[in-house]
Amino acid sequence: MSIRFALASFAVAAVLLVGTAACQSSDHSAPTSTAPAPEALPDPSVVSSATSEPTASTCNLVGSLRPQDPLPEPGRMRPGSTMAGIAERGRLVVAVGLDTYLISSRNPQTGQLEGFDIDIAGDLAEAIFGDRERVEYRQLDLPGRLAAVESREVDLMVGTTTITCRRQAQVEFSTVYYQAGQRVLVNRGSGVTDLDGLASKRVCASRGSTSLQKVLANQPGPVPVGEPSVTDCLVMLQLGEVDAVSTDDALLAGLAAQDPRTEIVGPRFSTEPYGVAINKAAPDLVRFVNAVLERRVEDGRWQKSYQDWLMRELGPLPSPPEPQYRD
Amino acid sequence: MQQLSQQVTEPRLPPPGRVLKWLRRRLRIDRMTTDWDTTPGKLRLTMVVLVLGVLLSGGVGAYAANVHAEATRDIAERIEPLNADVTTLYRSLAAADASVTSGFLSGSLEPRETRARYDDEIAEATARLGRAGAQAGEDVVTADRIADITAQLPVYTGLVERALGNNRQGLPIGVVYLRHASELMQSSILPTAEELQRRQAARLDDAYERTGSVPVVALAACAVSLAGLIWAQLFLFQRTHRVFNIGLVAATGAVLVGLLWWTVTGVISAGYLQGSREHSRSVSKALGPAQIAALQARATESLALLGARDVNAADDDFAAQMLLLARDEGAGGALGAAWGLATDREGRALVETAISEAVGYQEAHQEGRQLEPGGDHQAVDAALRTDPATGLTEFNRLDSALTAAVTYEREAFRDDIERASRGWVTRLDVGTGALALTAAAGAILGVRRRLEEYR
Repeated sequence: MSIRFALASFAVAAVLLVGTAACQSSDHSAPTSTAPAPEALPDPSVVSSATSEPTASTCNLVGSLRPQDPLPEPGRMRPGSTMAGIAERGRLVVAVGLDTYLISSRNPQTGQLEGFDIDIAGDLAEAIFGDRERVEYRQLDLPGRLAAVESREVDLMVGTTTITCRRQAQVEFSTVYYQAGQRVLVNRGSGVTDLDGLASKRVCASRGSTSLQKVLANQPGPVPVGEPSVTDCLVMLQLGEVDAVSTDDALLAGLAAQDPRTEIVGPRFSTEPYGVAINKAAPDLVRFVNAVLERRVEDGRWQKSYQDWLMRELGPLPSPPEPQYRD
Repeated sequence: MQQLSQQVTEPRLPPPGRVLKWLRRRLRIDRMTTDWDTTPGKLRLTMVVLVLGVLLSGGVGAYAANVHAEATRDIAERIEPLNADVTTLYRSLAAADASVTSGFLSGSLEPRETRARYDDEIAEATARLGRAGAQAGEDVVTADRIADITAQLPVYTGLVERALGNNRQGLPIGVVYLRHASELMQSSILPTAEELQRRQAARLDDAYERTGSVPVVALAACAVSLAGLIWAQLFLFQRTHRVFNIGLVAATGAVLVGLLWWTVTGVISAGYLQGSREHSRSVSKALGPAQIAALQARATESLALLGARDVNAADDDFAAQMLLLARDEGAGGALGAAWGLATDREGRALVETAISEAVGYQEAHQEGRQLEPGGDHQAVDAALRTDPATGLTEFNRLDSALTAAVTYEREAFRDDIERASRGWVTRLDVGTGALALTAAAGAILGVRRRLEEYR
């Protein structure tokens, strides 16, 4: 595991050395395309997988735009900025995932969405309005989330989305707000300890996700099953339609918490840097979001959010991801 | 009696020429032709023609009346009840799904009313399935579809129970179970139920076609025998100078009564039948689909608000279902069709209420989308908002308005079909046969008396 992690870090470092401009030039999909990536095909631009050799890759995965000015006071956005437009509208429109426990799910008592991703959206709204409630959430599936950012139907997206080169062609990403890694969820007592133990078994992940691509790419090969959301995967597991779920640990945490008869097994076999996605035409909003993300690590909100939602399933607090900038 | 009259009118009758030859031989009236010019000869021939004409018109008429009465009875007692069962089945299934999904909007403990409604609708659907299955008879396709639904319904309710159980514990997987249940309902069970409903509606149409045929042959034969009877009486009056021949007068009376019975029945019964057909059509072609579209829109809306479906995809579905329900402010869609099919002012008024409720529901839905700030949970509030005047949500008011319109049309249908199949209509076949025999007897007796005078 530590070797894999080191490899992954090496990959990231290598990528950073390659430079910033390489990303656009090496992308296969048209930058303006709104069509979701075909789910059945491995994404050729996935480089964060530590199971494959780190290649001399191609785009600056984790370097985002540096915050320029100190954060303005809430309610005093710089005139003409994207944030001023949002402030004028009166609410921040945020795309989040379909109901995902501990990440973005509706609290049945209050009717409000809550979770690790929702905390970020709330902090962003607070930075703009001084009021964390001024958010309109649009719960969309993964291809829908990316398309919504591209079409500016939403201001931004916080949706457990791994930064990849192909997605960077569609949208701009913030700095990494959580470093997830893919693992495996099975029924307790199944005897399975990792993805290799699932050869020719049915393994579920959400449609269009990097997780599903890694399930596809694994040798010996499991049978991949794509569902609209990871929670669907737990339904399939409970109904006996699949043998395992394999996706990011942050998502598996929400599944394991809902079903004590399941367990998360095996090591992380990938690194999945999560970023907030923003339209390419709003670099000022990217810098603003990055400033808010930096501040919430400094004032301990990031740590509290991890403790509130993920620690029980994923163990002690990791160090928050170090923000990296390309300029 | 009925059978006898039907035998007379077997479709493959030999040509009349051969019948006359055969009758001549049997009755040994060959020589009549030789003394054709004599009055007794003419009388005999007249008698034979009259009896044949009267019996023919009676037989054909009784048969036609029998077909008509059977078709009417078929509609009233078999086809429409089955049609009503599958229509209600279809609606109950959609209503159960709409009810249980909207119940989730209230949080982890579903409101007692939505739970009760869900239970009622499932019970209703199960009962209708049983009844429809028993009535399907030899219709293999219908029996097959009913078996399909019967097999899938427990899978659906099982998923719903898992959804409710998880939701009670506050686990979001409950909502996903709910979506799986709803997908099974929307994409598999409801289309099967729709197929069943369409099939029964088509059978009903066929049955109505069978009641609609005008018995031209019977009426023509009737007119010919009436003319014959009058001619015979004029002929006898000329020969005998007696004004009344009781037998022939009775025969004429019987034919006239038959003709009158036929005409009155035909006109009145056809009117009621047509009325019942229009009421039934407005339910099966317009109001029924409107109910389904509204219920499906509600289920779609709820699942999107619950975060169980991609909001954009769900919005598209919702918009499509609302277009099916009523487009252009109710000028089109199922409710527009229902307005066109409504036959009276009250029916139209009920449809108009439903149209305005549909517009109100759509506005409430849009408003929920545009509420600010707070987004989705305020949209939930909007979807659950109760009307201060009625204590109902916008959707429930639409649902009630549609139910009221359907109930009105169904009752109007039942009244009409009952009137169309009253005793004096359904016994027309026996009556026609009896009148024809009376007329035949009258003709024989009347002419015989005159014949005896020539012996």
